[in-house]
Amino acid sequence: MIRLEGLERQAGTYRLEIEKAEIQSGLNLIVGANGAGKTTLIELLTTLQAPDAGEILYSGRRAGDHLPLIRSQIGYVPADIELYGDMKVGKLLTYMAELKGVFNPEAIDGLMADFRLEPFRKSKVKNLSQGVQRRIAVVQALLASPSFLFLDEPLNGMDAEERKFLITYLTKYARGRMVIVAAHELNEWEEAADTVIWIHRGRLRYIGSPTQWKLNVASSVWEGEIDLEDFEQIPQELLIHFQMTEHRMRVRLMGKKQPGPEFMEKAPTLEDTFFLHMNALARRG
Amino acid sequence: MDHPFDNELRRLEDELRGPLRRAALPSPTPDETAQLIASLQGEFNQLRIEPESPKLDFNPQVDPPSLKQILRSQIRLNQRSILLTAGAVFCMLVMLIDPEYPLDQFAGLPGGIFPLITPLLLIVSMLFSSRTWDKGMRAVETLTPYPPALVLYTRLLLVTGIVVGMALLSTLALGLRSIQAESSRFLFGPFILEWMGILLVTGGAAMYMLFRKGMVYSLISAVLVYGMWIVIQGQIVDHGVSMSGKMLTDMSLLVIGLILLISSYGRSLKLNGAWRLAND
Repeated sequence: MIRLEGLERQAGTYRLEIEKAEIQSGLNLIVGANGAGKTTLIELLTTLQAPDAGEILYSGRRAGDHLPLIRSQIGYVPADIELYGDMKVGKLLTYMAELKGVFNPEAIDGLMADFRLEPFRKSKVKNLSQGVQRRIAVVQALLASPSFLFLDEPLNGMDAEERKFLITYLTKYARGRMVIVAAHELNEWEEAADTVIWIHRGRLRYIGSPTQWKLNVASSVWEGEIDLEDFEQIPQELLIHFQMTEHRMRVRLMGKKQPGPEFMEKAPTLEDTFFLHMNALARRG
Repeated sequence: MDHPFDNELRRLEDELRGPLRRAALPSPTPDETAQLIASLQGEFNQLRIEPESPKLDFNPQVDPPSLKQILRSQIRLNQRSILLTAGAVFCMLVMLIDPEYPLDQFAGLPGGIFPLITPLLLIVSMLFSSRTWDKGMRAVETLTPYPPALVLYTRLLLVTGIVVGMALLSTLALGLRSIQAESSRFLFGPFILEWMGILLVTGGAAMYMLFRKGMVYSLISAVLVYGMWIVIQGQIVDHGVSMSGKMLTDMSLLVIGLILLISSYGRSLKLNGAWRLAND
């Protein structure tokens, strides 16, 4: 468990402030708009940044007092990482493993097999696709089987199959460990997330189960197919998603009442819920 | 009008009323409920105590950190650019220096161009290899079970080792050229002492300041030490200091450099708590 107490950190134009929070084992999904403080929170949790005030306790241990111990249990995949392009995949992972104090070649071989990196062992990193490079970035974080795994936008650059594989892998990995993921594409994590951590403008708005987060919204989600003329009448702020069909528009929108006979009420997804909460906040000013 | 079936039911109820009354338990009174809750209060209190989260231990997958292991990992890093640059610079120096008069003055300084260029090469190599320019990679390399500054220390030590190794090879090449030219002016000992003294004191000063004041002060101190050495060398020429006196000065610089390097190692081990150094 990670406990945050009176946490404060100035990050650019906003200040991240979390009075008290406890993050439990399982897959935790950090959600929030751009600039809400997701990356700052992750960098604080990974000990890459030190808080201006407050404390972070990892299973009761303070980061400042036990830094090497805590870092021995942390794996991190940054949103943007440019791996050493001139190194071969096998050599890079061996280097990363040794840097983390892991001198067991089987740990590397096992992960390379799991992430289907074996064919690229002798390839230079710079010659590989973005998706493969992203897989290497994930593998380096898993080398020491850390108890705390942090991933900032891990699905960036991955194709559909790679995304599905990673989500399934992380779901299994999170059993008995803590995995914290910051993501924009929320629906992909729908089945995997045990906890939602919602950050808005540097403040913790919600931490708890995704189901409860969905129940907390006052509005509903509607979906239907309408004519283009009707589509133009819909206020932009209510639109969640739209897609052109042959001559009509398939629309997903939020609202307390049924917008029209063409619309059917739908169970909100995580992404819908995020929109609904953001919309409610905007209305409240 | 009563139905025969109803009469049958009524009769059955009358017959069973007595046995059922004996079997049925009366509802508990409010007092009894309160008593029961009071007697269970201890159990409730136990449940309310927050379960202590298990203490976190050092990762069993990870070997205890040591300087040897971290050096091993750093050697894996591709140092080709430094090797190539240093190789090119030293090749040029070996070719430039006249084998018949290898210790001739350069720009008014005794000892020639070799000791003048070697520390500069070290400063530049340290600047370029201390850490990666990519923020993501830097973050990942910071998250190790080692004291954060130790990774940086070993990397700089490795760079110093590369430059010293290359300079030694070049000295050997210069010596061979001198022998071929049948020059008696090349003295291995004083020559090595001269460039190694200033090299180690410059590198040592840079590392000493790096772990105390950060990268900018480290660079400033290295440049200052180098500048002061040039001034001292000028004084040596002006006052005609003897060879033994010059060797003593160079030996002092070498010892000071070594002390600074060892002191930086000690400092890098102690920088556990101040994790900002590794991130700023």
